[in-house]
Amino acid sequence: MTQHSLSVATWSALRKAYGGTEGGFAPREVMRAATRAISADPGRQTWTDDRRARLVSLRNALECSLVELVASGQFRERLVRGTDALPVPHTSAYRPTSEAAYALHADHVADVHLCLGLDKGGRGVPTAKLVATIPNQERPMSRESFILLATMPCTSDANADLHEMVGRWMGDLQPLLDSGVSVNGSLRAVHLFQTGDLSF
Amino acid sequence: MGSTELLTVCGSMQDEEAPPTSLRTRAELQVAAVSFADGPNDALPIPVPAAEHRSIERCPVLDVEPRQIVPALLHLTLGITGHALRLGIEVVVFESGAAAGAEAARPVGVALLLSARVCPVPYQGGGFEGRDCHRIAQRSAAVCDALVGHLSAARLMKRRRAWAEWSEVISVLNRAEDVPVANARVLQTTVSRVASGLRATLPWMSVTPKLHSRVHHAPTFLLRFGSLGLYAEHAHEA
Repeated sequence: MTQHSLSVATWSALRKAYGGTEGGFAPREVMRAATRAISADPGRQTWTDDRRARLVSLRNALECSLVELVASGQFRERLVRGTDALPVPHTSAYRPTSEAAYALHADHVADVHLCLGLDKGGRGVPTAKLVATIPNQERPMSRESFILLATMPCTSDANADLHEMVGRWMGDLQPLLDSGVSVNGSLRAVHLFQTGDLSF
Repeated sequence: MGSTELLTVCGSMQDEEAPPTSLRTRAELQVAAVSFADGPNDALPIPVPAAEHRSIERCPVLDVEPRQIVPALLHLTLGITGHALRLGIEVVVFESGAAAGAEAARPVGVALLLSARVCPVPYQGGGFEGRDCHRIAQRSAAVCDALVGHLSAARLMKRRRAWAEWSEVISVLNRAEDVPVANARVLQTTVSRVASGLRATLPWMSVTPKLHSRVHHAPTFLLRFGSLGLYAEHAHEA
């Protein structure tokens, strides 16, 4: 379910279509226990109210995804090309400093690329979704690869409303950029890319 | 600061053949972002010069190195495909007048509908969907064929060449995989040639931000990070 980003409803429909336990599917009790265990994972903790939903911690969500990528052997290094168009190998570990935030680390410092974007869509009551993708994998754009961080109503995309929508995430993002993330036991810098419809 | 001085400092987006001499830095963005923190420019006792505010009227939530901002590929694709279709009709109007332009629009519409099998959607600003833009680029020969008899042979040839080159560019830009350096360099040369060619044949055309982004920002990003598709907004649109 987590690998293919299937909702419980979709899983149940598939299970029913294939004949339940007779079709080789696990019993409901086993699935419920597994769902509870997955929900308790720090990277999948969510906060919801009647209009919005969001993951509780951006850092936990990111590290959880990175752990899964490393464990499944799907983590890929992304090397930046230098002025001579040759890839610059990662030769240094990341060491957090007290310098100004978002100071771009050198190309030879080990890092993880993180794209963060806000997209508005939907008819009726328009919603915006905040999505993170990690290009350090083979297919970062596939549905099972990206991290849906938050969904929220977006009747207006004025600057003040954008601040209201994504402002709280900036508090999460700042420490991530300042102190990096752990990947396979070593600390890496976070190389942030802004993308999407709505500029923030 | 007058516009002449501003042009000296910042350069002109309309001058496609003169690329920006330097990339904007985060420090410049930060200075510009807080220019209007105390109120709109009109309300300030001493107005903030344009070279300082860089037309940023509202403070962004987050400021990052501008070179890390990924060109929005889907929007480049939508915008430039629509622009290219419109330019085809504008050339007819330039050659033969508005009535001829209206007359030429019909066969182009029919070609889009029957050959490319696309039609406008009620969203995306009334334009075409992303995948339809790819199909239009692939079937651009039909779009150009529809202009036979409405456009001089020389201009039609240039339209065909421009569409063929855009078709190559669109496939490289949207590819969600690493692009070899050689291909990225070819793309850089191609988009630059297409842009300068357009300005030469269509002198009234203004360089839109999307066109500017395609010519300068997208190839630079592609060369540095090896891919645009891996960093683009396709996941958001899924």
